[in-house]
Amino acid sequence: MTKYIQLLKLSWQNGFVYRTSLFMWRFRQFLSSVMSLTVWTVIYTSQSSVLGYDQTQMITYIFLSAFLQSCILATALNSLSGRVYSGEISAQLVKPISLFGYLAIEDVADKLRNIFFILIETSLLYLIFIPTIPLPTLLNGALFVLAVLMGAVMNFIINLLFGAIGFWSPDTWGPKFMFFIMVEFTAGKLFPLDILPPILEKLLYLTPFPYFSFVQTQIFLGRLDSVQIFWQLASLAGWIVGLYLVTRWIWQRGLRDYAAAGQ
Amino acid sequence: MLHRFSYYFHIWQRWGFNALQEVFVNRGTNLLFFSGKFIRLAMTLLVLLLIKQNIKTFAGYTNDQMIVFFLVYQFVENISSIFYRGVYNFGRDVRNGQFDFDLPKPINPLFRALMGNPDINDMVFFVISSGVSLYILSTLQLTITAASILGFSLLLINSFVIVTALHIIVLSIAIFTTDVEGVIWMYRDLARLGQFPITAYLELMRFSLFFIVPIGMMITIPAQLLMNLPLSYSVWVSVLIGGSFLGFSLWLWNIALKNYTSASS
Amino acid sequence: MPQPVISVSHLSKHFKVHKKQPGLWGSVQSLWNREYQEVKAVDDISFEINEGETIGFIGQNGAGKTTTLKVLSGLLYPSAGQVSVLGFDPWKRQPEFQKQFALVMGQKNQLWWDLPPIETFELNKAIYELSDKEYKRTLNTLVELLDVGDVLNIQVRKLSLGQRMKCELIAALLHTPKVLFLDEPTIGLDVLMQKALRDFIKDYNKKFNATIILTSHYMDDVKEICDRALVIDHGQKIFDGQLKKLIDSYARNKILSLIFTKPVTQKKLAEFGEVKAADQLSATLLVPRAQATKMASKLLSQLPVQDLNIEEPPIEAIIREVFETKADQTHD
Repeated sequence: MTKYIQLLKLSWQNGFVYRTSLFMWRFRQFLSSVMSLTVWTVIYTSQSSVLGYDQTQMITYIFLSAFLQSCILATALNSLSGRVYSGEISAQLVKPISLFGYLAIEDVADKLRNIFFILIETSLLYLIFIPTIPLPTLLNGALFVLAVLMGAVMNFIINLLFGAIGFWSPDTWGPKFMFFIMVEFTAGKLFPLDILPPILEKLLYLTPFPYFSFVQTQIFLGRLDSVQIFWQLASLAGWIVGLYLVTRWIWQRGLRDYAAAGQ
Repeated sequence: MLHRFSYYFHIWQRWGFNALQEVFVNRGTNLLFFSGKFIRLAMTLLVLLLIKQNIKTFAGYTNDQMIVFFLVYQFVENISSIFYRGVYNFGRDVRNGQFDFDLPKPINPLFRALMGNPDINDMVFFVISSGVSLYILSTLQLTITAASILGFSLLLINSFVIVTALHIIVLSIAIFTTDVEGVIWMYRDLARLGQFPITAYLELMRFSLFFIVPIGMMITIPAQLLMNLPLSYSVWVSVLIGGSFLGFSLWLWNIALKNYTSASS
Repeated sequence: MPQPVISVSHLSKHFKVHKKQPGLWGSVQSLWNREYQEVKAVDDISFEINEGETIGFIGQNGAGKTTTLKVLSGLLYPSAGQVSVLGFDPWKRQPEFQKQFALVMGQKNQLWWDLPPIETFELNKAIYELSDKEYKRTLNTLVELLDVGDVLNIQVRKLSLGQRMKCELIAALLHTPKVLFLDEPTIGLDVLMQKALRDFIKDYNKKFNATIILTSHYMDDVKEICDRALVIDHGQKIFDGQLKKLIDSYARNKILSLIFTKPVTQKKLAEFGEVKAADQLSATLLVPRAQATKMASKLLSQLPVQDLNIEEPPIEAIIREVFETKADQTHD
């Protein structure tokens, strides 16, 4: 256990080496929050309800999705496929520590760094926009936390899956780009996904995308009843198990091919 | 002068030709990029149309006018990424020493850094998205006149002067701070604020977006001119800002080159 | 008296690097507070190089070799001092100057990775404004000299390191530069390929009377290509002259290798010089240069010697000696 704590400390520090990049990343996140908050605040000056959301709910949605961006979607594993392809990952394979455990620690450190900043940013945004944020019931709050943790686990597994492309090819930008675009529209700050036409919304529920933060925000906002919450958490759990099995299988194949290629 | 122009045009053509070949080599990746961009445009338009249907005014503009601001943003950003895609890789080129090969060549390194990697995807995308944009424009209720189209076209030149200046500033920053990734994405996110009329933002931001990172001069004002709406600042202020930014960016670039440390070996 | 092609006087180049504080809090602190340290990569170096000369820059990692080359190429702006190459100030990057020299970096790659090398050649043809005739003639000569006719149309990423390096050289030499800077041109190549490249560089020097500066980790590169060596350490020039002179002034010892008819003990051998290696029937001894001949005849008369050779130590050892001597001096 101590080695994992040591690792966490090290990963935390490592992220600060690229301080300017980190600052810029956070500033960009801040800008997009400001844009969404401004646009919706302006829209609500002339009417009280748009597309089924009142102002309080919409503004809370934006604050929540900005926060979940740091908790669920922030990841240190964007370059994992490159590290796999270059063989850098071999250095981890020979150490007496689980590879997935090692990567998970890196990911957690990255999330902690991002949460550290999002808390500062949120306070700033709060001072600028002075929103009313309705708090959820205790039960919903607990379920929200659970759903956030599960979302983070699912995102971690999906990142491992992307990383595995590196076993066979250096080109991972195409699929990654598609993924980011989809995340931008399904878990983004600009609008909640249920303002989309119902047919599109239904289609999206066949993918993991709503579980990257939309479902979590709906639990927090109390827009789902307990039966709906149960089914959403169940399908999120289903995605985690399914994706984990696929990922494990692919990594096993990948590592085998990897050793064979002698990289 | 004419000789210099044809020399640089010839070289730019070769870069474009090479970039095109690379697209064919990496066709899978490029197909995904292309579809991704398309999905993004389609989704953004869809959401804008949804908002348009559900609201009547936005920061003093009609919902139709709001769409025009977005389309002008889309147009300017699309063209700049066709020509200046090379800027996105510049940080990497500086870090891995690729730029060391460009500097000793008898060609302006700034030209190489800005225009060395034309984006073929975006060229194709441009044709399609322009068609879609024109169609959408034709469905909106606007007062566009021949004179306003002419004025808009002329002011677009100023927009590209600003785009160029901002890209040169990004390149210079990449030289100053080699360990920083993606300054260009910062620019992109700032430009994205121009999807909506800059006048909608809070006072301090509005000022910054007109005078510090002049996205407003680049997108909002030409769009206002096109629609015969009152301008936030006069055309002359806009042109003055454009010119001074270009001057500033070139000055910064020269300083950056003097401070270039080259990748360590 | 030939005019120097390259002249460098009192050149310095300093860099700032930042020091990271250790520890968890240190990393948060480094967000707003950073300490910088000045590194003198090149520190007051002067030299002149004449047309057609081949110079080897020798030095340990970080000694300042590459930095000097980069200043000469106009990549880096000198912190102090004057530099002139072919009568130009490299920093001004005038096209007339740039069309007359080339920089080749062994660890880096200017060829378009996803395309065949010929595309990069065509691009450089346009950049250097070569006529079709010149281009074809030079390309054919280079392709023939380097024997790469069959790879010109293969994607660069699929070439072997050796093939790629040869194509890199072609890309750099298409405009037949009069001055050529080679930074580690043979790094990572196998012995045969190293030799092929060396032979080519020598040929190029003779054919075009080109001035060549080379940095390399492989002493053989320097030994075979260069008639003059410039040793740099900690940004300063510590030797400039013929390679032979370097050997004479720094090689204190010669190596005697012996083969015996009967076993000889190490203890016995130690009376003649420093024993570097020995088994029963053979040995290698280090003896001071001045006494080498005397010792040899002494050995021949006193021990059952079947065969004896007097050799110069390998150049790596001499260079190590140079740096050690230098270090001792600075310690004193």
